[in-house]
Amino acid sequence: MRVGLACGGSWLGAALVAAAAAGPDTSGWESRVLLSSSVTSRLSAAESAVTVEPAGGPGGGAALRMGVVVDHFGGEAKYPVGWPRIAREFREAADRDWSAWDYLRLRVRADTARAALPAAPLSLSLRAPDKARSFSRTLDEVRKGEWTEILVPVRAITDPSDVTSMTLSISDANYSHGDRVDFLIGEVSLVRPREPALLEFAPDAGAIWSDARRLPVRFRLLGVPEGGRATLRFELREGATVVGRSAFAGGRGDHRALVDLPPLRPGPYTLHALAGPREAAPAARVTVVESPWAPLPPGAEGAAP
Amino acid sequence: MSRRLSCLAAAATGIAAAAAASPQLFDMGTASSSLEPGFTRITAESIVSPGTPSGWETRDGLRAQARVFTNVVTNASRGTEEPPPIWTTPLTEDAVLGSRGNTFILPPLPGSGTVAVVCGTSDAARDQFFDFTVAVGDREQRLRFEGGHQFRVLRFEVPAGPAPVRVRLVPRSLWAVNAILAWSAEDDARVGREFLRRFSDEPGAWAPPDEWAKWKRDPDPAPGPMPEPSAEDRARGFLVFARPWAECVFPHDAPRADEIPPRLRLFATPGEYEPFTFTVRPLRPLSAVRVAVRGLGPLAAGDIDIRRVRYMSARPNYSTMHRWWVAPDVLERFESADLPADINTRFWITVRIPDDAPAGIHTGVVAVAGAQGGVEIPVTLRILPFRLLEDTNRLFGIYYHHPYDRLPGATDEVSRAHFRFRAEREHEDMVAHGTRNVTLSFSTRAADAQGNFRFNGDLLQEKFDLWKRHGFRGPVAMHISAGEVYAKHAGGRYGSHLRGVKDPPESFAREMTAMVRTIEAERVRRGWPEFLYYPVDEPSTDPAAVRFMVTVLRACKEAGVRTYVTADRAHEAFAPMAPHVDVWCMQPFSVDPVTVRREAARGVETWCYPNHISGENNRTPVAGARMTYGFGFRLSGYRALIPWIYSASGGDPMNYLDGPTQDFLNRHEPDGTPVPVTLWEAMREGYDDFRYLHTLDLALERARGDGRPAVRAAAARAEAELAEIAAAIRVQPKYKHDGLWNAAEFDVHRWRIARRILDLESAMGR
Repeated sequence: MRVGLACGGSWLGAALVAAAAAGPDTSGWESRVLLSSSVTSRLSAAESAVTVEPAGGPGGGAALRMGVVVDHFGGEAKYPVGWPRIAREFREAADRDWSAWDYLRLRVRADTARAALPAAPLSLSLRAPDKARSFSRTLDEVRKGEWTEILVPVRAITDPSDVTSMTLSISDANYSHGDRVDFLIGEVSLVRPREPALLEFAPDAGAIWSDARRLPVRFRLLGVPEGGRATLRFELREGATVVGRSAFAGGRGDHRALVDLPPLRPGPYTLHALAGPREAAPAARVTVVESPWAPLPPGAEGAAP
Repeated sequence: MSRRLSCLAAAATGIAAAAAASPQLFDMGTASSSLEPGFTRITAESIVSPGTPSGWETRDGLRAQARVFTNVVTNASRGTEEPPPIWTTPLTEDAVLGSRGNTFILPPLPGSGTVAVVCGTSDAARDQFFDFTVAVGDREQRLRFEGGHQFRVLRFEVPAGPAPVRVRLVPRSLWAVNAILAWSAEDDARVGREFLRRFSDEPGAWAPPDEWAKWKRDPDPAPGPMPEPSAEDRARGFLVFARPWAECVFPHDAPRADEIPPRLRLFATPGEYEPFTFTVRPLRPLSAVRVAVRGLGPLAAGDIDIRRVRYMSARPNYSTMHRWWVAPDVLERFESADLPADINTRFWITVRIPDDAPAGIHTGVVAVAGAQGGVEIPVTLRILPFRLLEDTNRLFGIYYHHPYDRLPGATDEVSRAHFRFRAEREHEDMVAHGTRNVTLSFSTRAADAQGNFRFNGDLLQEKFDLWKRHGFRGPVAMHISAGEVYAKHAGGRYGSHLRGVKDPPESFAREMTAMVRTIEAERVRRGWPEFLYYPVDEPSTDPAAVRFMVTVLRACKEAGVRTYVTADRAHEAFAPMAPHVDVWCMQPFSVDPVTVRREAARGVETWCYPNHISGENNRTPVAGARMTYGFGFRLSGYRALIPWIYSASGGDPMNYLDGPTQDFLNRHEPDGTPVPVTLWEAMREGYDDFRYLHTLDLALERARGDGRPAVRAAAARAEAELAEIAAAIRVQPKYKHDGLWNAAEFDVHRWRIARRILDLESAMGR
């Protein structure tokens, strides 16, 4: 089955155009909420207080507040400098199997009287039945006083097929004793695009030799139904002139395509992804550098006489 | 002549003796250690005699050893239960060792057969270098290995005959035998399966079955689609492809379209080492494969080092238990080998450009030859007309288990010579990788009743003699025996990461100051480099630990010295320590460059121990290691890189799954010569990136004093190029796998710097 192109070149639509460096606009994506002011079953808290803020959310809606007063001397006896946290346990299969979803999306804001947040203000941990296959990541993207949308690719999770719990925690060590920090959590959801979408489009190398034979291109195709294929064209351009191109057809997932290249002049180029006549993603810059192995000009040190 | 003597004479002269059944199985050890079922116990007292047709010729110089590891062990320092360094069986838990020549005699086999001699010890034997020869008939094999926890099997073919079988053991230092097995050809499969499998490379052979059942293998990365081999590939039986060395090749990775045909090109400066790699994918089993590099300009055979990448069963993290995968890791010297079908063999070739090599472009070939055919792959090398310059303000160091620390415990001259040889080779290797600094320890007891400290300054002097001979540079992160002083005053140990520390009495701080003053006086007297006093490794953020660190650091500083702490400055829990710390050493580049500079201006240095690219994780962040050592280090503004550790092993050094933690970084050949791993080579390439940058910096500095328009224009081009390259880097606290340049792109950026050096030098008329 070939999808999307039946809709002309617009299959990638607005979401693709928005798939800029800052990340895609996921607002229209299909989602399954895992944690919010209204999804709190089997939610536990340690060394922190959880409350609901009726109008504290990003759009004026409700939000969960995880409030922490950092205490380097109290808390768990074994770990006075510990990890204040909230955790939600998952029991339903639909909550535990994330493999058909593309991203875990967190909408979070931090409020604190500190001048700035520490480099690692908050952490995400996902437990698997086999503890060794659990996953954790610091959420360095969280900002003081600003709502931030963080997308964690599901493919990065060690075992997305059976996630038994999700924990948001801080490390006391990263804060000073007595600090107060509140994390407003608008929502934590699993998300995926409803329509085919091109993400993380980039040349494999942002700088290549002038005598490179091919330019590898990496990208993710999402929103393509099971068994479906989407088509794309890639072009390398020097100004407005197309100097290399290739065509691609494939399904959901991560891909690598090759653009065949002629000998190139050194200088700046742009790499384009096209769905029909339209740009499917912002163009990427490629710098072409003269090859060190080209014959040396006469008179150069080491040149043939 | 007594009957015993006549039996010995018969054995010695090869007179016929009654043949024994096959197999004959002997388990060497003590009288009380476990006996492998079906084996005959052989102790240091088991002498061959008329009634005992199997045994030692003499008991001279024999002793037995036994150490059992069949359960988890307690780590008191960490307060944990851990797996033992190795898992022993009745066969491996014990051994007979000999410091003199001896012969083990056993009855002849019914026909021709095989003798296997299992050699090793289950105790750590850290100060022992085993060097001995085993001979059976007219064939002899030399065996060398350092320390225990490892076992080797030597096999000998034995022809049919009536004479007893004589296994001769000739030590240079000491020999160690766990078992001797002799069997006829028809028992080959059974002996292999039942007794020798545990010494094979088969996954899990090293562990008891119930332990191995807990280990789950992580999948290999997706191999990608296999391309259709050409008729030529099929005829010679293999494909050949080239992937940039900083990108891993896993056993089943399929060649990508852009990796065929391989293109091998490199550029380098005189005195520089430069790697290139290619991979052979056998389409059927290949025999006697050889690799040679020919005709590469001024490079002589000694300038070319050919190795292959050995796949190791490895943990995804050094402390992870019961998960493993197969990772490309050890670069073992390659001469010739049979290659199995459908498993990649990656060849890793490092060339060293002679110091006097003329600039120019040279072409040669890599010849891959097998019994069924071969291929010649063109190689192009450009030698650049300048040398890379060192930035002496930055320090490339490494944690180090110094081989000289084994000298006091070594009991024979061969072992002592070995530890000196290994230290020499390791220092040479470090210098060849840009590393000219190691951590050291100054071990002392707590003060005696008269307030005196006892230490062996002469051993440290020997280390500094070696240091000086290899051009190492200070300051030295010098670990001192704070734990001894603490134990004296607090009445107990503080444990790993100070997990059990309590506030010590005031006398502790006074004695610490006195100890540091004593050490400092010795340092000054002997003319050693500056010491950074390093009392505790990786203190925790626990308030009691931080309080103790304040006490101990303040006490050190009372002696008028600088202090060194392995703690992340970004952790605010460590803030109370700040007034007493001169060098903060942390794993990530977590302090921003502005803060690093501000701290440096007030005399506080920021160092990095990037363990995430030295084996603490899964041993494959090769590109991350290059980025950490080169462009990443440059952007960080940090003063030093000093990862854990040049080489560290627990259990068998070639088994990354045994013991409580995974082994770190480089391995060794039997004689102690270092064997690099991919991460170590990547660190050198990052170091070279750093030197390219520094060489350009110095050229720019010279250009700033030159008002000629051509020079100013070249300088402007260089500044713009540097800014563009910096803008292409995603700055990270830890460079590992994600957000890095493509493996090939590193060289493009290195070349952009090189050409600006050429441009500037040309404009300045040099």
